Amino acid sequence: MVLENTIPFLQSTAPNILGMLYSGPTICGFIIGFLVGIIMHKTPTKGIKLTTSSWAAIIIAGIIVAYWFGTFPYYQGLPLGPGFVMAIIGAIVGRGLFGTKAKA
Amino acid sequence: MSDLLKLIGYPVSFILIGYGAMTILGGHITPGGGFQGGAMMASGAILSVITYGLKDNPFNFSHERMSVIESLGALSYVFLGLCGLLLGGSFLYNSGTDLYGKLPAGISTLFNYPDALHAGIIPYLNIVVGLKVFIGLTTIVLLFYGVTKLSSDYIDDEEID
Repeated sequence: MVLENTIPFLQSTAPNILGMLYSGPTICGFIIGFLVGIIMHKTPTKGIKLTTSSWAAIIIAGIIVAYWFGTFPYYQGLPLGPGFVMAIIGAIVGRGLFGTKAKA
Repeated sequence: MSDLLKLIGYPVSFILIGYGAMTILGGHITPGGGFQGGAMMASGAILSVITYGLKDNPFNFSHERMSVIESLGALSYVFLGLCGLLLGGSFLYNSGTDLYGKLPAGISTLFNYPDALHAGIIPYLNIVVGLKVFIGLTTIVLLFYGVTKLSSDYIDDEEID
């Protein structure tokens, strides 16, 4: 309760997250990201080496950016755009599942 | 490119792809839509190409995968249009909202985009156009990049100086 009062993000999401989450942008955002993710290389290419913490940092950065974007597009539920975050997660999942092996 | 660009280029591509997806998904309410969002997503892929080069970039720009996604976008557009033609009597009839009351309630719900506005098939059209534009613009830049690399082999550096 104290945490909710100090952090506005938690205060606004406290009542019911799932009740305010529209399935349209959530699912479609994931699908768009997934389709983009399958044209990525799964194995690291020359000059790029991302660890698990790097992926976590990308997702956290995406959540922060989505939070500053606000309730795009005019949804009055969550304080962040769900399509933005789900597209990034979808791209990471699509890359992990169907990404190809990079040529050495 | 510099090491700093190589460090942040790939993660920033993800942010750009997410931003493009968000623009596509808000196209039925806000300025934006399939073309603009697809162009934003393409900018993420183009950033990787420019930063890492054609050979070492983290995207797999193979003909098969890109043609699959582009064909998926084009065929989905035609499919949605034909559904409107068969169900509502005109090509691209908005089966999700059913403004003229031509469809049963079940089919209208099936095509309806589940959000607060219930815009019918318009968001789906934005999504499939976005996928097609993403692949199309990426392909154009890849071709330009390849031709530039090819032509630079034949240009004498002394002529430029």
